[in-house]
Amino acid sequence: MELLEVRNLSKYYKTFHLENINFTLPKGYIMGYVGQNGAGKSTTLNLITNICKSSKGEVYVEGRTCNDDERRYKESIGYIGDEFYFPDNFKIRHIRSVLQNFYESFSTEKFDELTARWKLDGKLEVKDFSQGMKVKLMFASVLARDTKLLVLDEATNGLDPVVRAEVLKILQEYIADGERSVIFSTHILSDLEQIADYIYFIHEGKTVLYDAKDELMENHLLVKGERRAIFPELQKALIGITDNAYGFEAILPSDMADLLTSDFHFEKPTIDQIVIHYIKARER
Amino acid sequence: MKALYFAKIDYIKTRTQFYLLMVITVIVMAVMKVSTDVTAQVGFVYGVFLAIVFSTTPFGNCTRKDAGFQLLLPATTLQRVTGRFMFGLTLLFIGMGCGLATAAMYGLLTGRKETVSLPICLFAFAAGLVLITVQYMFFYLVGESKGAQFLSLVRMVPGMSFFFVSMKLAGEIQKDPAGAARIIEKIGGNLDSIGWGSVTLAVLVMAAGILLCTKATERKDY
Repeated sequence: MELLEVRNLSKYYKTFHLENINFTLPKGYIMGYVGQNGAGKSTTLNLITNICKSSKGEVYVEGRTCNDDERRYKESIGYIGDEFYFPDNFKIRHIRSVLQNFYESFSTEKFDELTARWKLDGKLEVKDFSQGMKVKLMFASVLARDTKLLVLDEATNGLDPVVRAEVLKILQEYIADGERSVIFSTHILSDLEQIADYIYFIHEGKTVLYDAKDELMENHLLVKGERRAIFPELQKALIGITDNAYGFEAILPSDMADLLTSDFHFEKPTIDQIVIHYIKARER
Repeated sequence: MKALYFAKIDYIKTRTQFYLLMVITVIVMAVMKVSTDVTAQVGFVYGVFLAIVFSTTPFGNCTRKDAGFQLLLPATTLQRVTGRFMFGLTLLFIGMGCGLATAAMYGLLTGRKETVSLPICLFAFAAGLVLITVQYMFFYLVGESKGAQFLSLVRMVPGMSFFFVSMKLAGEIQKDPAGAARIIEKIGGNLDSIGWGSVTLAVLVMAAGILLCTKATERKDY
C-alpha cells in the first residue's frame, strides 16, 4: 500500500516554479529526493509537511490530505530539517512538555530514554548544543511518537561521519516493521546509495528521473573514452558529456549499450555520477 | 485548549522577561517611596505599560525556523493565533497584578490612603487590550517574522502613548478634581458601568482582531 502519494504538486513563486511533481512511496521504503541547491527539494518537502501551501496538486499521507484531517495528517508526519527548529532558549524539559501537549502519541518515557541514550544535556539551552546533538534531539522528538512518514530535509548535512552513520542506522530501524516510510533529501548521495530504495531527482523545479534505485543503476552505464572516437549516433545518446584529462565521461542508457565499440570503456555508475551527468546535460 | 498550549510556548520563549518585570516593579516601588509627587496610580500604570510592551516579545523572538516549528504542530491557524492573543491577555493580567501590588505597597510605604479604583482598572484593562490587539494585528498583517524588523517601534509607541496619556489625565484630575467630578456627573455618574462597557468593547475588538489575523495568516505562506 502507498503511504505517501504526491499528485501534480506545483508551487509558483515569482522567481521559481515547482511543476507537476508526481510520485508514490510504498510502506516500508526510503526515497532519496535529490537535486542541486534551489532545485525545489525543500519546497516539495515543505508542501508535504504542509508548512507551505501548494498552488496546485495534492499530497496524501495514508490516503488523506491535510485538509481532510489536519490533526491526524500532522500527527502522522515527523520532520527533521537541516535547520534546528526548536526555539533557541528551550531546554529538553520544555520540548518534552510542549510535544506532550500537542501530540497524542507522544511518549515521555521513549523521549527520556532517547535523550539519555544520546547523552543530551538537559541543563543546557538547546542553542548551546552541537549540530550533532541538535539533530539527535530532533530525532528523539520524532521517534518518541507514532509517526508513519519521516521527512528529512538535508538532515545529515554538517554531521560528522560517525553521527551520519548513526542517523542512517536510525532510518533503517524506523522502516524495519514495514509500516513506515522515509523521504530524505540530501547532497550526500553516498548516503542514499546505502539506504534509499527509490530516487527522485529534480532540477530547476522539474522532474528529471524517478525510479527504484537499483533499476536506475542498472539502466545506466558510465562510459569513458577518447572524445574523437564519439560518432554522431552515440553523441546523441550520451548524457552529460564532460571532458577530462583522459578523454571524456558520460552516462548512457543501458538499452543503448549496442552503440559502444571497443574504443570505449564502460562500468556501472554510482547515483552521484548519474545525477551529475544529468545536471550537465540540462545545463547545456 | 491547544490555544493555551501555544500561549505556553510563548511563555517559555519569553520567560526571562518575567524576571525583568519583577525587577522593574521593585524599582518602581523604590521610586514611589522616595518621590513625593507620585500617586498610587503611577505604579499601576507602570504595570500595564510593561504588559503592553512585553506582550510583543514573542514576535521579536520569532525567527523563520521558530515559525516553522509552530506550523508543524497539529493545530489550526485559529488556535495558533488565539494562543498568541491569550499570551497578551494573560500578560496584561499579570502586569495589572504587579501594578496593583505596587499601588498597595505604596500605601504601606507612605501611609497615604490612596487606592486604584475599579473604573481605573477597567479602563486601563480595556485600553491595554485594544493596544495589544492593534500591535498583534500589525505583526500578523505584515508577517510574524518579517514584522520583527519593526519591533522596537511597534512595541514602544502604543505602550508609551498609554503611559503618557494616563499620566496626563491623572495630572489634570489632580489639578482640578471638581472639574473632573463635573465631567463624571455629565456622563451619567456611573463610572463602573462605563468601565465594564469599555471592557466588553475591548474584548469584542480582540475577538475581531483574532479572526482578522487568522484570515491574514492563512493566506500567508511560510
